[in-house]
Amino acid sequence: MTKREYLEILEKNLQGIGQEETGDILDYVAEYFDEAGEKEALEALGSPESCARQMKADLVAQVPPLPQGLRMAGQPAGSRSQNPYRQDTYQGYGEYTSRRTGGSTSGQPSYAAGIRSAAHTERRNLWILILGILSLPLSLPLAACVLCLLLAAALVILALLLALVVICAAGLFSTCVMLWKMFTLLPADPAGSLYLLGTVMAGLGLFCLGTAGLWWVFRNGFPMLVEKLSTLYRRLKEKGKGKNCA
Amino acid sequence: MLIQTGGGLLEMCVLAVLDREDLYGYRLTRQVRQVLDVSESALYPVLRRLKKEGLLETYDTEMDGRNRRYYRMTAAGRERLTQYCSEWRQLTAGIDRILEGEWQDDKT
Repeated sequence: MTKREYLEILEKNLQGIGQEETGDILDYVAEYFDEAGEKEALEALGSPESCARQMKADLVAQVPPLPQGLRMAGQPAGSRSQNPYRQDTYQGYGEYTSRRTGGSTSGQPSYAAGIRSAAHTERRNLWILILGILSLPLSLPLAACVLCLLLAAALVILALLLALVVICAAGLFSTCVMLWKMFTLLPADPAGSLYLLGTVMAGLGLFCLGTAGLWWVFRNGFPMLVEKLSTLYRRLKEKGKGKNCA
Repeated sequence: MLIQTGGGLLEMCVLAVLDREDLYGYRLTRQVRQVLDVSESALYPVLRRLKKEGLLETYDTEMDGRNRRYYRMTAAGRERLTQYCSEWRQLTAGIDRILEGEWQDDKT
């Protein structure tokens, strides 16, 4: 993936956090690509989708990103008021919340936009669910149809195999009968028994071919079929996942 | 890495790295990433937050025809770093005591 492609996908995934923030992030990532080179940048930043998610993490998060002081559990309670950092922290927090509550109108449009985008996705998911339920009368018979077709295909394959087995068995049986006939007919009709010998030979040849064919089907055909089916299944699953993400 | 390197720890490291010199994004995060196992995209929100809180400021310089955004610590940032440092020393000293089994409950 080139820098340009990366930035394009990133921008698409950053929607909903405001132009200024998006611009800042794109500038930052572009600069990173210039400095680190494509290979290292891709390693450090990960996929553009996950990068976008992390980059806007605390813009969409419900919890305000407090400066998290590393606090000691064993600290005596009395020292709390004397600790200037604590007061500082709470002052900072108050300021932050007031900024945030006023922010939806003027201060931080990007934050509000982030929240809105989260609500938007939720609503979209709900609509998809409703759509799914409404389409049940249509999708259920369709699914049944597909299932029946798959079952029929499996049955056809099984029937073909069974037919092959029966043909082989019948061939073997008739060959044996003809062999017997050949010996009993030999004194009375030598020409007829010679003809039977030829037929027996041909039957044996066909039998050998048939067994080899069956052997191949069981040995290679089945694993191949299973593999093809599993790749098909995987591809369908991935496609479904991709749709969910978009 | 088993130990989570969340917001506070990252902020502290970024501030500490910038205490020595002004740095641009790539070099700054590379220094942090040499020590902490954290992704590049997790560091950007930290920088943004520090800037919004007025602990960092940025300035742009031209380098080989491209822009480099440098990060510089403000006075407030320096103050925050001092607080972080003292808390960190306290915390690690306490944890070391637990790890080495010298911890004793105050009540006993």
